[in-house]
Amino acid sequence: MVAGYVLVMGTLAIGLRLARRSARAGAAGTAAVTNPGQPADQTDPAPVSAPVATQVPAAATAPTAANAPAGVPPAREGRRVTARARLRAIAAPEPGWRRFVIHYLGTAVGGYLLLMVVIIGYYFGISPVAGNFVQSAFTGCALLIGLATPVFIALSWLVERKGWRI
Amino acid sequence: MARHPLIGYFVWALLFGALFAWEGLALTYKFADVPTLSATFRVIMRYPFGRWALFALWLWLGWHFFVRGWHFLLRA
Repeated sequence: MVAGYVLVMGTLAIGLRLARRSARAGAAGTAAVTNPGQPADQTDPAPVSAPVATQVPAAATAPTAANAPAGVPPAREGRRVTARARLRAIAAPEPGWRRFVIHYLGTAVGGYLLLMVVIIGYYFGISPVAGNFVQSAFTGCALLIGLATPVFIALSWLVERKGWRI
Repeated sequence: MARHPLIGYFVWALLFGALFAWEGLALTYKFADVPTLSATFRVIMRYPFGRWALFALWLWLGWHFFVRGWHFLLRA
């Protein structure tokens, strides 16, 4: 156990040290590029590892109507795009409390139902666990969501509105 | 408390050790396209089903650690 702990922590320490060293080398290389007057012998020989901006293909950024199949009339395609946009506006409105609540409810309800499906499938399909397993899963997980929701909403309000840094 | 063979605990330690070792490698070779755990979670959370699965995992862990087998109000 101790050997495993030392191995894991050692690997993490080496990784952190190497990551910091390469970041420092990258910063020195960038500084050398931005300061042309700096002597050449002060620059770090390590290659600059700055992230390269990803090229987004034009087809990915083009509106959906432009990607319409050749056989679909433009008016029909336009109606379809409008209906899709309306649906998207309902499911994912502008950033704000409404969108936050929809996102949170969607995740919480979806995750809760998924877990219940898995637990019921496990209980009835694989192994019936002793005790009030299924009942405890329903009530216990609902209790956890009920406890976590106000905390999550309060923290979101503090971070977004009051500028808290967590 | 039930007694289990030592090998069972060893396998769990090995699995968690492998998880952390892989994360350490990902941090070490950050520029060699080895995704870290947080990058992996970010990719998973891009999709609704991934968010549901992670939330279900979080619920399952919380239910096991904090609800199942625990007695509130210091009941003996």
